[in-house]
Amino acid sequence: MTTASTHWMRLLRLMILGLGALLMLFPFFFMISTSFKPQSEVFSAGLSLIPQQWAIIANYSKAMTRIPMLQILANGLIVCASIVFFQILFALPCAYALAKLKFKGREFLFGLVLLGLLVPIHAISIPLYTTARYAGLLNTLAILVVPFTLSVFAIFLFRQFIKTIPDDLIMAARTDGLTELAIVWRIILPNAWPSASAFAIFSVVAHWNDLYWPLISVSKMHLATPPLGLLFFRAAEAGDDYGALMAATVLITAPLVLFFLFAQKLFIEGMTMTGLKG
Amino acid sequence: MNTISLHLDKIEKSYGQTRVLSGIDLTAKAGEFIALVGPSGCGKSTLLRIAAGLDHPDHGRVLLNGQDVTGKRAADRDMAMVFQSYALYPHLTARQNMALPLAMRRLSVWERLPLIGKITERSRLSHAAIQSEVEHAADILKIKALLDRKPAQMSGGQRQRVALGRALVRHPKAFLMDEPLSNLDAALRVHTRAEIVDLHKRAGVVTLYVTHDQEEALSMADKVAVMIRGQIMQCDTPAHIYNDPAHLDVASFIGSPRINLIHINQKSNPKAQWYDYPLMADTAGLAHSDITMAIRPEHLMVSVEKTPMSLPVTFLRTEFLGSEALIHLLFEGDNTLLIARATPQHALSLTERQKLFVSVPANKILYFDAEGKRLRSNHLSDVRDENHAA
Repeated sequence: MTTASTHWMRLLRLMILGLGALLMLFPFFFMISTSFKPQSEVFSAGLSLIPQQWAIIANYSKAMTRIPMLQILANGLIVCASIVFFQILFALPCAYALAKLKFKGREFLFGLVLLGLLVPIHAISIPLYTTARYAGLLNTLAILVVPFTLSVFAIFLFRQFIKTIPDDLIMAARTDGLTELAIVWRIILPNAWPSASAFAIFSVVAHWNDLYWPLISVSKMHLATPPLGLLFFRAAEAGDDYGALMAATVLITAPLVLFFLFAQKLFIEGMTMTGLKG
Repeated sequence: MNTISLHLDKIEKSYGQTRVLSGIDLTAKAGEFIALVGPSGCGKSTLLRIAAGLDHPDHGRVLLNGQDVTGKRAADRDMAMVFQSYALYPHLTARQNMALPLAMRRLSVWERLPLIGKITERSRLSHAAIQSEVEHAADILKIKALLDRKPAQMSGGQRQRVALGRALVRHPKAFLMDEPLSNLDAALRVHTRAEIVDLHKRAGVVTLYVTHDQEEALSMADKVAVMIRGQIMQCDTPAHIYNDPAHLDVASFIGSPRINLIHINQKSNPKAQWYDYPLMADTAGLAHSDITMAIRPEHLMVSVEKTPMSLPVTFLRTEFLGSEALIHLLFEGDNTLLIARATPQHALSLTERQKLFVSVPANKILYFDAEGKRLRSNHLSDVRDENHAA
């Protein structure tokens, strides 16, 4: 009796979860399916996931050639990698100071960090834009990176993690002759790897997909990041060529999905490998 | 043996309103092993951190080899510290843990980088030298088999040895140890004690050793400094600390089981007696009204027959410890609990609630005034002489 009911409950649970997953994934299936269809079929009545006529080569070659797709992907890679690199470079020493060093005004500074968490990019985009204009940074790759190099979220996240590192470890490092910066890079960073990679996932996903800031600060095709490139592609070439547009979307989404799967594996490995707890 | 001494001069430290250290003076001569012992919260770890340069005193100086190092960072003092939690770098192997302090001191920033660091002949040689020194230290501590393991793959005792190795390998000017054995199990602790003493002899480096375990302090150190409430009450050889304590707090902190205490008010007992019993020793020469007598358990002699100057007591129970036994006795005069050390045969021959008598040789009684200060009178001088002989 009980085993039968738990069996049914289990089945019900799985069905609900499966339905949810299908609902979430359907737009992606539809995107891939559309990217395989010729234009005539996209607009035909009725909904079929499997195309009757295949137009893979036509759609994807359009997506690759009408806009400089490789350049756009490279831009995305450069921008995201630089952002993550600088975010960690700046945030980790800040977080270390806020977590482990004693100085006057530390709590106040940490309060500012928390306050910074509340300010969205949209609120400061106009001052940022004018500053960038005067600095002559509009329409450069740099302007896509610079505003994001200091992440209060990263500072907050790393501070919370560094707080859990025992003081003894840091004191041992000091007596062993490490300077404070050496402690950050030689002791804290290797141990903070799980939280650093978790943060990297957040950051890369957010900035790879960001359309708002690139749209404001960049207007040249050769500087476009993936979402902006997609916008250019739609505006210029493929107003109603949804097959090609979806092909371009697939090309732009795929690296992110691959990165996510890879980083997730690293992330979990990092969690189990460090064994920070004695 | 090196010639470097360590001197703490009038160290004071407060955290907010709480005074942690009040005017600590401590001199460790070259090669000396000093144990700082005291109950938890007495400030001994803070003192050690101040010596290491990990904390700053409000007043006072730290002198290393006669030089004032108070303003120097821990990294520049060249002392090695061993922590209770071992504080090994979890992401590095034992070998890398031990090599890191050497690398930080001997190699330039470029030479420490992976790959690039080994380009020049000179840096290759220094890397090789560090490796051979690590191997040598590992040899001494018998941890060669562990060198390529990470801390998470080691037991507590093994981590402890690696932590000792990390301190030993760089030949520091001083060793500072903060309860290094507290996290080990009892058998391993006793074994490692002897090894640390050996290592100290071999290195000949001045050592400050913080512990809450008085047995550890007495058995390992050349000198024991007893710290209570942020002050060093006494700093002397283990034998003197035990036999000739300068303060009641020292007498009652050191020694296990605790020293027996008997309080006497001479005003209410003008005839120098304790309740209805004559005092075991003459306190008339001590011009204090409130006196505490302290007697080590091994000096209480328990017998079935009454002797002059003996106290009647009731036998409560025996604590059997193997080679000896502790006898718990109750003096009904003021319900004082007394503990005496005895042979197991003697102890096991006693029956519950049996009436017994205890006596003490007069020269084995220690006297303290109401503030806990030691009282010495002329007729007690033989105690001191005997201790000097010991």
